[in-house]
Order: sequence, then C-alpha cells, then structure tokens
Amino acid sequence: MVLIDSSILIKGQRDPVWFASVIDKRDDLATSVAAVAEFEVGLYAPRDKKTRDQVREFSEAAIAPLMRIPVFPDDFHEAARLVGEAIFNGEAKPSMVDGLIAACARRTNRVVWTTDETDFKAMGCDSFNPWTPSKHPPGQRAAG
Amino acid sequence: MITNATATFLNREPSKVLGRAERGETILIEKFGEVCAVIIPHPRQSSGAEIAKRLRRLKPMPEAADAVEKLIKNMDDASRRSYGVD
Repeated sequence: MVLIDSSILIKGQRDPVWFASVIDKRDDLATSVAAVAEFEVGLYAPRDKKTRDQVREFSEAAIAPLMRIPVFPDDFHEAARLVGEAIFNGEAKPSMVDGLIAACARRTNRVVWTTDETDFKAMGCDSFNPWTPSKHPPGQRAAG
Repeated sequence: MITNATATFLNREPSKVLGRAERGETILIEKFGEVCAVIIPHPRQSSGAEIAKRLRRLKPMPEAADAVEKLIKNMDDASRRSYGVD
C-alpha cells in the first residue's frame, strides 16, 4: 500500500500524464492530511492569481479524490520521536510535517512515495521514488 | 463539518451517528454537557484509474509546481534551522 508525499504531488502537477501512468493500475493509493496541507499552502501564498488558480485546479482534480489518512493525536508523539531520533542519529533533519507523514505511513503500513527518500528512510519508513530524473532533466518542461 | 451529539443519543441511535460520520461529519460526543469523545470520518480507499482519468484531462502546470515546491522547501528549511542542533 502507498502513501503519496507532497513532493510527488508536485511532480504530478508538473507532469499530469506521467502521474496518471504511475497510479493508473493501483487501488492502494492514499496520501496524508499533513501532505495535503503542505501542498495547499500553495492555494493561498503565491502572489500570482494564475498560480493559485492552477494549484486549486490540480488540487480539486487530482488530490480531492485521493484517500487522505487522518492524523491522530498519537501521531504527533510518534512524529516527534521519529524526527528527534533522525536528528540525534545524524541521519537527516526531517520537518515536523514529514514526521507526521511518516507516522501515518508507519501506522498504516504504507510505502511512502517521495522524492526525499533520505528523510523518510531516516524515520524508518519504507520508501520509493517513482519520479525518474532521466526522463525529466532539470530545466525541462513537460510538453503541454 | 463539526457537529455534536449526546452520549445518550449515540447509545440510542448508533447507526444514525455513524451514518453522519460516514457522510463526512466530525461528531463531538457530549456526556453531562461536556465533550468526552470525537468520532471522525475515515476515508475510503481511492481508485487510481479514476484519478488517472482526471489527470489526463489536465495540462502540465510547471510554473505552479515550481511555486509550491519553493514554498515547501522554504518551510522545510525554516523548520531545519529552528532545530538549533548540528
């Protein structure tokens, strides 16, 4: 089972056809309310109205129908432990939001799909990066 | 939406209260006038095929993706700086 991190939602917005191809045959997809909240800062913060409108369009089309794992009170304690131990062990410095996503993934036995595998591995999560840089070199825009 | 129900009502009509939660309500359960528990909706598993169909109707939005990526990176960097540990 899969839990999609905000970093993959961003790649999906960059290239919707690619995102469609990696999720098409799967019925085990979810994200976390914490990842959605992180992404949805983009609904409000950008100065440019077109940017806000595009974030809303993607959010309504692709994120709204995605299963959202809720964050429970105990997940905050678990996130604190996961983030704290990752820092203590010198493996990574994950954000608290990533800690909440990791806590949700561990509680529900899901593999985190993310481009930031270092942070999630440091928090004891199974992770996978479906984004293929070789097909998406830096600076290249997806064909529209 | 957040609503209230009494423990007495939950005891008498559990399926009505659970039905409300299934339809998306968060329900605060009150006992003797104070909230003692919360019932929240649990999401259903989503279909990749259904979302893929919606995605294929979207145009790429690289500028908006860049903007959101930058926002999240800034939030992450601020979070890391605030730890104050080496």
